[in-house]
Amino acid sequence: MQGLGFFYSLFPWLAKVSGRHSREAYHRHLGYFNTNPYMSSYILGVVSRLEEEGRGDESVKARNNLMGPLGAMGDNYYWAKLLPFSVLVSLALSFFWASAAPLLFLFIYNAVHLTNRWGYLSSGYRNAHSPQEGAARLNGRGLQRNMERLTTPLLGFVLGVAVFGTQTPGTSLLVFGAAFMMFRRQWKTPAIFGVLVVLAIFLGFLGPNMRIPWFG
Amino acid sequence: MTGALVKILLSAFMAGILSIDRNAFGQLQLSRPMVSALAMGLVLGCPAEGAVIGLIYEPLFLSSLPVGSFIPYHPLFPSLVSVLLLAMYDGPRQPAELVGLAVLFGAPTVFLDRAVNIHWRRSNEKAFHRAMVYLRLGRTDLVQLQHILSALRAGLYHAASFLLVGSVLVLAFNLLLKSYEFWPQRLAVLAMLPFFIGLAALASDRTARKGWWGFVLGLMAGGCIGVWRALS
Repeated sequence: MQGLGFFYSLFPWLAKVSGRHSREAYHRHLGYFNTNPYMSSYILGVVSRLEEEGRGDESVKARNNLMGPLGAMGDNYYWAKLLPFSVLVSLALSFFWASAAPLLFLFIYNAVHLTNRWGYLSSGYRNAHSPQEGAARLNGRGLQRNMERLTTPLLGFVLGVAVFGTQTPGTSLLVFGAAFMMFRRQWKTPAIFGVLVVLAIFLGFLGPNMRIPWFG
Repeated sequence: MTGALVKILLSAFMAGILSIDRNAFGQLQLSRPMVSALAMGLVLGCPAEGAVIGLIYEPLFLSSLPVGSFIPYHPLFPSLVSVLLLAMYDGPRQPAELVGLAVLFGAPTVFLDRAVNIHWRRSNEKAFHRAMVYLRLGRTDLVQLQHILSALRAGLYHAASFLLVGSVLVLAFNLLLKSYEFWPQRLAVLAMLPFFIGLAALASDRTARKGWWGFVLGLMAGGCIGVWRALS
């Protein structure tokens, strides 16, 4: 439920452009709102423009029509692509320069979404009269495709360095392989964690003493 | 004693602030373990341990996405608790020896983190309904205040629950280490569990239909560099 946040962001603009009709405008826009948080800037842009032009009912319709598609688009872009990509790039760096990894992660992730958020706001404002067409042009397909292509090799790279970094490659691959098989069988993460804790304690009592790659 | 209390209070404050970023304001990903554990380590005076704990927890639940109304698990509490345990340990052992035990203690707090998150979301819904009432009364100042209070409530709920559980776990952790000195070495394999489980979840998703070749090539490249690093 992001209705309060949406209203909070829109409020100063509504107060400015609605004049004596502001009370109706407030009522229109304090309602159900749920989308990907990064994509909400586009809807804010659309609604701002339509409210500015005195087309309040259209702005509600546009808001309601855009929430779902932009939510799906944003979840796919930011949660399924940008986040794993920026985490894996930073993890790959961490083996060589551990303290720089969080900074690189913050830089990559925030540079993309903050730039996009500003762009979405102005794009929404510009495309307020054909918001669906404008939204279809937002998805940054080229960047997403490149991130998608690089994520899987990066994942393999991080695993490869980590496995040898522990100095117990056999045990590490056993733990990874067991978890992988359980995920393939649709097990839930907490259950996998529980099973592997037992396995790890058993392995520990058998002797393997895993080293943590980032400790010098 | 006062120093320990200050550390626990500071860590609870950090948990609160970071949960606001995650839930209510910004979404700058300051709450990712890589960042939050390092920040916690800096505050508690053990940045190296904080950085390592953050990297260990980072891939965990990375493939669990907050799509639609689904609320995924998030490793914020586990990473912060694990850093707190290492920072509060008062004994002769090196932090690197204790990471496995700290992970064993910290990981279950992921359930608490999620429960608090769900509780806050329900309270956010109530705040929304209150805001509707205030709007009908023409009090737009109170409508805006509801949003700020709701964000602060996210921080408060997380900080309070972290304070409670963190204190109990710190006590239990130190008591256990004093009673069973042989445990830490035996639990070394546990240290990297969150890391490998997180990578396995991602690999299971990414290679489900295609992507095997990229994964294998990356693994070979990483393996070569890993071997080179191990030998040098």
